[in-house]
Amino acid sequence: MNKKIFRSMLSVCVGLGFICIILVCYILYGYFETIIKNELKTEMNIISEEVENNEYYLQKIAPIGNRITLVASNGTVIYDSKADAEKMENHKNREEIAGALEDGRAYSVRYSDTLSTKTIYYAERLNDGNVLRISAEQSVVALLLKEVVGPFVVILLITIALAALVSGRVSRRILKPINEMDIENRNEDEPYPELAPLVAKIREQNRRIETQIEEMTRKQREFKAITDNMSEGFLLIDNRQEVLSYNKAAIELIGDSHLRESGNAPVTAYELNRSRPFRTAVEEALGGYNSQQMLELGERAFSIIANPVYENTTGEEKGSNGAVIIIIDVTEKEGRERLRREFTSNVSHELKTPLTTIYGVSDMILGGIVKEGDIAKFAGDIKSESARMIALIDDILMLSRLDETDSSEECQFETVDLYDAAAEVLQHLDAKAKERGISLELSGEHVSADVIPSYCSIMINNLCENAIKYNKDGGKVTVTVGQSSSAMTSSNAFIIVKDTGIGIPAEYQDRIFERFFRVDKSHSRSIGGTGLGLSIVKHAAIRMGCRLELTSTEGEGTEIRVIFS
Amino acid sequence: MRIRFDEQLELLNTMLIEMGALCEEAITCAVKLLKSDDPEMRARVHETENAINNSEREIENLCLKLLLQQQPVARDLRKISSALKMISDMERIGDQAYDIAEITASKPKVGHNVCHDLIVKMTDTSIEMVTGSIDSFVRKDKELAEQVIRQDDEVDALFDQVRDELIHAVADDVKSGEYMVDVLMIAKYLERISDHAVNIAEWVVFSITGMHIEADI
Repeated sequence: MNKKIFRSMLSVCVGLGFICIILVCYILYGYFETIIKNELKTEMNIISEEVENNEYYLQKIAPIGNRITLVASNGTVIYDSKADAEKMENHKNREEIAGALEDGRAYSVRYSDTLSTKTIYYAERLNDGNVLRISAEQSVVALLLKEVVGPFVVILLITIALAALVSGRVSRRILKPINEMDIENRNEDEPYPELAPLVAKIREQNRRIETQIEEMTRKQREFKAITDNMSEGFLLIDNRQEVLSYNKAAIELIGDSHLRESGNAPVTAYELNRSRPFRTAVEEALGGYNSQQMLELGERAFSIIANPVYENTTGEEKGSNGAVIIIIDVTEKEGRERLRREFTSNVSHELKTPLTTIYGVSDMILGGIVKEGDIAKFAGDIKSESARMIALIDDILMLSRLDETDSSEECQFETVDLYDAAAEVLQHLDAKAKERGISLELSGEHVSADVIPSYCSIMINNLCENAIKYNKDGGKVTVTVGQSSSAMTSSNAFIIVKDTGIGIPAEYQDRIFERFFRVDKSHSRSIGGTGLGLSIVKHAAIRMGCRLELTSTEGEGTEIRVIFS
Repeated sequence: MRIRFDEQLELLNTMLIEMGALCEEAITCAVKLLKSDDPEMRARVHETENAINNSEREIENLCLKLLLQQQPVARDLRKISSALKMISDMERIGDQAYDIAEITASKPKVGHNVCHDLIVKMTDTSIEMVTGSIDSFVRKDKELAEQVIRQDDEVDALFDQVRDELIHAVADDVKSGEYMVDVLMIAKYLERISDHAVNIAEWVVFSITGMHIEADI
């Protein structure tokens, strides 16, 4: 723009310069002619008087100055200062002579044959009737120009130089405010009103770009926030297995320790993990199939779900443009699955054992192998095994009832005196305890709590039964009912069942509430029970919102506290 | 042109990692066979070994194509040439894993426990070395590669111990000589595997620094 302005200004200046010079030449040319004519007239005035008085005056002044011709009224040349009068033709028809004869004076201009000069003639009729003519030569415009071209060129050069200097300055000055214009600042006025629409347009575009960038950053932040806060690993790769996007969880879950520590971004998917299940998932997804793989890393298990990504949905090409991989930690789910499988196999085992006995014994009786007198004994066996099975099935039913979350009619909370409930249970268990010489003791105060009565008595029963079963002969079971006063909030009722039994080894203490778990598997049959007692206690406690606490020392005894909220 | 070249280098990288992963898998499976015989596992070693061989061929082709068509220089050239060397070591690792699997197939199931602990230690160390060498390639980690190279002495020492113990064991129990030889072979294969891991690590160092550790020129 600077250049453009500079050039146009310069060319305008130079062009004007030329035109000026040409005009000046033209005006000067006309002016010169007028001057010459006036000179001729003045000279004529001087000479004409002299010529009339002195015949020889002409010869005296002849050789210098302008050409002077004296023509008789009939056209004959009497005298000429530059040529021989004798030889000259009749001048009667010459324009200026004819004009002078008629009007007294006349001008005429004639160009020479070569056109290089022109001659200006002035003729005047004298008193004696003769005509006196004076002529002067003048160069034509072209020649005149040729003479003045030198100074003109100099002038022109100076003009160009000056024009260049000024144009440069001026164009810079024109552009300066444009360059200094603050497009960002909306309040600033544009330097030239002509620029207003352009500036407005630019500002509008700026604003649009700004909002778009803002929008995009916001979306990106949102996406990052979503992926980074996902507990599942997320990975997006292209068809060359280059990682396009990933979240922290992906590295946390399946990345190796190096990536986790250095915080480097993985470039290719295999840099993250190169185990077989992961590779299979990646390959299958890039091959255009959905893939789900299990990946085990140390103690944790992961489910890798890889889906192909098609960018354009034409689907002409087989294979995908990339893959989205989701990594889910399924360790806990797997653990739960394992527990369920164990439970099923335990149940079947526990059910099968008494059934086998029943079947065997009844088969023997049916086959007549058993002596008449022994039948009663075997029938007793069948009865006790059936009783065991019934107890087991009751427990299982109880557990499944506890598993169900809906509150049926049995699950109504009622206010119960815990001391009375415990006394009832102990009375019930008195016979069993006496068999092994175990003393039962109930202490504490009458405390009421909101509980589900049936669950509560089962809970106390199971705890006390265990305390008796896993006690030493002649041991002691102490049940304490009370109310904790230390709690800042409402006072909590509690029941403590304490025995002086065999205790629970520390490593099994978190497992005793699992279904069918037994510390000593080999003696489980002689002790009896289903292995579900404590599990029922746990679920009943959860159901009633109680807290269970366990303290146990191997060989010394166990103390279980139930704290009602 | 350059973009395409970069893409192909990236592909080479991915293929090498994949081949390395296959090697790790082959050894892990073969070693599991030492502990318990499992025909499925043996089939997997065989399958993996084939996959390794295919990988070697593919990578070789890619490397030669890159060398011819792109005429790489400096670091790219080092990377491609060290890749060419590394794959032959990886292929050998696959072969040796397969050999170990073969030996375990014919191993008489006697209750021998000679050198059991030493062999376990050797397998652990050599797996660690192979993993380390491949990790060092993946991360372009010179320190890790050098650590792998140093670890070789450990495996060599273990091998000597196994050999000594076996000599004594054979002297005590002449009848189970065949078994002892098998154990020695397994130990030797493990020792070779760790050597190959060292070679890989050396080429990793070369591709990073441009200096091969053994070349003191």
